[in-house]
Amino acid sequence: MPLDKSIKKVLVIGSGPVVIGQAAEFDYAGSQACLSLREEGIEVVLLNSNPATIQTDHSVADRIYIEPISVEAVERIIAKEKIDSILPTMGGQTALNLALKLKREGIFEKYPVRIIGTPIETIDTAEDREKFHRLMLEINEPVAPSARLTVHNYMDDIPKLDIYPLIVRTSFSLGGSGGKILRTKEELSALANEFFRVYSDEVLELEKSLEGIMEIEYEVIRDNAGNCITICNMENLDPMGVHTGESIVVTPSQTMSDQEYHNLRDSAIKVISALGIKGACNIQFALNQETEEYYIVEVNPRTSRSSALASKASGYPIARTSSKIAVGYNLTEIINPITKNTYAAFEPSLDYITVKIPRWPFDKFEVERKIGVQMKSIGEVMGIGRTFEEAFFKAIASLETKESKSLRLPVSDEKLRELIRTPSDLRIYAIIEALLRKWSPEEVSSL
Amino acid sequence: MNRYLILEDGTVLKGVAFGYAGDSYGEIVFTTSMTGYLESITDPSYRNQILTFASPTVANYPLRMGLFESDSVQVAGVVARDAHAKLVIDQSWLYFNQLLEEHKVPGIDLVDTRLLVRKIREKGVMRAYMSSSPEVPGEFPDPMDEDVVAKVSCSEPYHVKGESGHRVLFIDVGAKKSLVKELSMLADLYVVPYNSDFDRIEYDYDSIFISNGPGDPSHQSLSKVADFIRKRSVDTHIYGVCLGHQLISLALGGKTMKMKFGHRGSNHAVTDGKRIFITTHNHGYAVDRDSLENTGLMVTQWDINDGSVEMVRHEEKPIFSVQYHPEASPGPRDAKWFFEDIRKDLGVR
Repeated sequence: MPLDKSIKKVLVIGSGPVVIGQAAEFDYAGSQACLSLREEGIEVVLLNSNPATIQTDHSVADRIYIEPISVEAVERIIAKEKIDSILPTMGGQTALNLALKLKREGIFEKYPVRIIGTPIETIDTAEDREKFHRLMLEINEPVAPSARLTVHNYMDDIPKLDIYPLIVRTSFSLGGSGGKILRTKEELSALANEFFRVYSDEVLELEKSLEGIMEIEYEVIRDNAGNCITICNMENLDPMGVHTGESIVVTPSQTMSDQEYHNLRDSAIKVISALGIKGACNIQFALNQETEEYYIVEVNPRTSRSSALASKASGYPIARTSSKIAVGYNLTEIINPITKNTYAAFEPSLDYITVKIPRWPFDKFEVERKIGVQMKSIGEVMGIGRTFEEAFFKAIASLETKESKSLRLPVSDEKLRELIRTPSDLRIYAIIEALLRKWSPEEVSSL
Repeated sequence: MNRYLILEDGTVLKGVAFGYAGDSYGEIVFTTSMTGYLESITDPSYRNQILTFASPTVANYPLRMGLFESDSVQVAGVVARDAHAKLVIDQSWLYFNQLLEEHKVPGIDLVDTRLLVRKIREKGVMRAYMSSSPEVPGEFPDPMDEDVVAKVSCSEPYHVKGESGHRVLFIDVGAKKSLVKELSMLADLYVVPYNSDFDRIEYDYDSIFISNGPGDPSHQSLSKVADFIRKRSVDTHIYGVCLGHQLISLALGGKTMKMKFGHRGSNHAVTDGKRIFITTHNHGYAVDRDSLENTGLMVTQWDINDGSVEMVRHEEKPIFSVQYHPEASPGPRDAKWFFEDIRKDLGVR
């Protein structure tokens, strides 16, 4: 399919301020998208509340609005600029949430404007945990087993359940982080008894905890004709339970067999096709290599932090290609601007390894150094090398912290054990220190 | 211990020896597959070739996580940048070395494979020695002059039972195990050697399949297979993969040619003009598109980047074949529809 000529003026929604938890990676995606659209002769209007981004440079967009990222602002811009299309998948979660809000408030009925790229219904399904789980079950793709307890069924159901350890959430904390991990029937019974005595109208949502197993991501692009390719995969050094933004990430995966690699690739393509993504997205898996089971954790129906990483690691212009798809092109028609003589329809094969390490601000702020499901890092470094060791140490050297310069931790053996056991920014140094103290790799790994 | 890779153009690369402690000779090629090292080195299509892994880490996961594509290690040698990721968890490195020793296949590690790949891309495939001495030998005979298929084709016919009621004569010119497995799910197979007396086969079949395999499709040792295909093309369903695809094209009047450095890897995009499939390739020869004129064969798929012929289909007869590997292993499974097409063509429910 060639360029859709009905697209004349596109509003690109930016990601807003750079805060802890959302780094500047969306600037990169957003700017690439704007330039890619302008290349097609399309007028680009940009909304971003952050004046300090490269996106708001006049060479990036035709018109720039530095205003709050809100429904009101978008409505005003649509009316004033006569916008015909909105691209909401380049500004992180902020822009995606705004798109969902625009839909709820009926903006798409009120004005002759539409979403381009991944359809709003797809965004809705991917973002809504329950809808997403239902779709996964429909297409026979595994998600973490879950159950729902009410005052009526819990007495009967608890003895039958075998999904420990599990995360329990109350219906009023859903979506939030108020989950608790339970490991036994007894713990669950006690909690349920107590809970339903007080809240007999509420439900308890249970989900198998995937904590501790391997976390893998695939970056996927799908076009308007349904062609689907995977740009690369990313293996998290830290297991499930540590946010991918907080994890050391290696591309391409180093410990997966061909079978595992392609089982997950097949699954990624199936899921992304069922969702109906048009453009780039990211899918996360939890893989248990011992039982050969995997679970789909979630899909980000947009360019994400991982897209920026995948783009840099593989050299594939993800945001650019995905904007071209948004305006009608297919992978068979888009030329790869880096090689200039090949098409965007290929899967990069790397003859190097990249290692990403998050950069935490713990040298500047006195806060708890433990890392987990919440993001504390403020940026990241990437090392590229012909071997894992080379890439890894290049990344460490780029961190420029006290520890990364000395590589030694002057602590007791006891303290060292604890540092290896608990995820924190110091864990990698603790591992290096342990190996320098001639602890065996088996011993370090068993911790 | 040092080991040297000596190329036809005089280049000598030094590395560290592993695997079998002996010399070797072959055509030097590279693969861009990032996974599936065991599947690659046991693929019979790599016979008489020294395989360079463009991806730096080899043997980075345990051997038991891979699949054997034949009963032996087929490559003439393994060249790697970083094959020394010594896996202590289950002695994988030891097993990998033992495997190479058993099958008399030497390896060289710590080679600048990026430089090597660039050289091959620039100058095309070359002939190379793997040796304990850096001395450049005077002669570099063509490893493809040999009858390579003889080394990989089965020696006796065998039967793979299938339930569909259809019976396929499977000509083994170096078949991968996963290809036999895929086909056996569609029909009863009678697998025969490449040098069989095809007119005297005591098996009642309704279609013919020609497998993948190594070497030059126009090698005279294969002319009997091509003659047989030509003869049966008037009244039988015929399918093929890789070398089989090339033999079908030759049999019907087309020509094949040697490619500069070929396609080897799991990331090649093939298109039919609308759809794209990411597929596993392992071919150093290709069917010449222009030569297919007036043969009845149409090019229905091609490589999106260099236009090489990747699939042909006869305009009237039930004959079609692909150049790439729909059975994957290693690689993506985008082209599994090929077996579905055969299922439909056979009329299997």
